[in-house]
Amino acid sequence: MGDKAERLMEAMTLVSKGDVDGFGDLLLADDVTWHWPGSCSVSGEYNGRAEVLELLSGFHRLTDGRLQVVPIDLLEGEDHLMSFTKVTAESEDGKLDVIMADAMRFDETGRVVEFWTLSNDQTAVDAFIG
Amino acid sequence: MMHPNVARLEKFLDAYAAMDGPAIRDCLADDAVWHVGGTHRLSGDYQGAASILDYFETVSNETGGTLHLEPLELIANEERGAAFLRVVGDRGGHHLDVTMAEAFQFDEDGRISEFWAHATDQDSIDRFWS
Repeated sequence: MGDKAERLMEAMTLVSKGDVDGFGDLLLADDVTWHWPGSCSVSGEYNGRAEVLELLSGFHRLTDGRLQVVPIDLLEGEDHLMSFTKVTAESEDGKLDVIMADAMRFDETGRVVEFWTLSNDQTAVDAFIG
Repeated sequence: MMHPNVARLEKFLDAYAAMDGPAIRDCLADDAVWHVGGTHRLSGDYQGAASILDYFETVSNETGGTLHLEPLELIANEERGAAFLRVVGDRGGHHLDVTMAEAFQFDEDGRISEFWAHATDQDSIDRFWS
């Protein structure tokens, strides 16, 4: 595992403990941009660390305890990293079962400056998040 | 050492740039699925190699062959790949210039079986195809 993957893993451990600010300090550049696809309530573009952390906090509130996220693969290159997860959930409206890919571009300090969230079934994700 | 599936991604992108139908076909699993994001008229899922080739041909025809994919980084392992590309093109007075993060799944023969992606500016892609 390379430096970028190690930093991501460490940041994910922090966020799983509810330390969203710690996640941001460790992983995100000040001028990070996060691109969230689709047409649900969190879709759009988030500019700067504060906006991105607000997105993450809001997303955790929206999905609190309802998502099972299982890491399945991680591809690390020179400047980029892509993390694949299987995301499942059950709700009154039905089941969610998608593969998500979080794509990241790192700056020279080893922090993420651009972040894309990709899903192989965006319609299902939109319907689940609402 | 570079994984053979990186070379397969390069081969696919070369075939796409040349709009070489048979060479593109060789890169795709028979039952491949291509998820095209956004809310434009080409958005949706293309199922099967023939349907995906038709989609590529439509894109090429409508952009007069101007759509150019410039790989920034390609990463892959046995099962999955990631491509970060600058995509530039012109169509009917619209100019497109975005960076895409693209996720690939490979079958056991190294052929692409699933594709999904997201852009730095999905709105500009939706406008491009409007």
